[in-house]
Amino acid sequence: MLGKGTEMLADYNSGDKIDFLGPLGNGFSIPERLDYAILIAGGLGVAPLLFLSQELSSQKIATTLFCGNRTKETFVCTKEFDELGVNHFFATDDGSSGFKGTVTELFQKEINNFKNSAAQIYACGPNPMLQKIKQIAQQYNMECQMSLETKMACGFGTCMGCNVNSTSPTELFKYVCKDGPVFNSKEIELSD
Amino acid sequence: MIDLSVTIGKLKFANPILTASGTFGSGEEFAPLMNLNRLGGLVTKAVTLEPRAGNPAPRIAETACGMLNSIGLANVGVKEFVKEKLPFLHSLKTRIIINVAGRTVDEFSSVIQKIEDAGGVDGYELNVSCPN
Repeated sequence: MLGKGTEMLADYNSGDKIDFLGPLGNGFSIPERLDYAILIAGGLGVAPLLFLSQELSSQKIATTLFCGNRTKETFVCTKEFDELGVNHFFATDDGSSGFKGTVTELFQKEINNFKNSAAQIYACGPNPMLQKIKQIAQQYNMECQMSLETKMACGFGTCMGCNVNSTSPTELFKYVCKDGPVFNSKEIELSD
Repeated sequence: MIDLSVTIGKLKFANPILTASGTFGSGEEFAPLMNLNRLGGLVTKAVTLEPRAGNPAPRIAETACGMLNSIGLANVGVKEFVKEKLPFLHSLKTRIIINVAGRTVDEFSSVIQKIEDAGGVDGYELNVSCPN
């Protein structure tokens, strides 16, 4: 456990009461009459996609998960996705499970089976991964929602610390805590 | 009840607790979380003559003993501030101090004049050192 805050939270017991502020920001949205969802996760980016997958499953929307990690041991929630009947493709940097390489390389490799402008991509992971997924979505004219992670000091729009580049001609930045953390990939630019 | 009031110059504060500029936006963001009238004073984030988008990311870095930040004085500019933020501040009972930033003496006085023309506030804090 790296953080002091995480350590404190881990010390709580079931039934303890804590104060919290939230929920903050927005979440993924599921368009009406969506036929197909493609979830793309880099590392711990899989976390919000599990809850999304439960919602998609309750609406009977067919779902495929592409998930990348450093090595076989770092995968989490695989059992939960299996129980939801989610079709999955794994990538590992060291090849210990599934495709050897990044999740974006894997998705690119499989794209001919998934390039469908009626499907919705949902992605969460490191910014370089999200930027590549954005480019693939653009190339195949697919809608893509991305959940971002960044340093946040206040979490609700007053410290102005969590900016991300906007593609809008009228504003340079959007703010991950209040305009996001989920953005349509067309709204933001993640390249340096 | 203990009298916590404090007078600085001509300005009387109900108590010596003021928000630090930059930590409290323009106040309204915190209204759902606390009764702002309990504060002795509310000091806003810096307001500049023209709108400022602020610095590119990253603006925040964690350190072993706290946090570094370099926001870049992101704010909507005094014209938009007067229109969108000042009415709420005028509705409060707490003392309102607007932090003003500028590159020249004229810019500082232009910002203050525009706020004065819109009814003014209790005081101004001049930002002459912090670029954040």
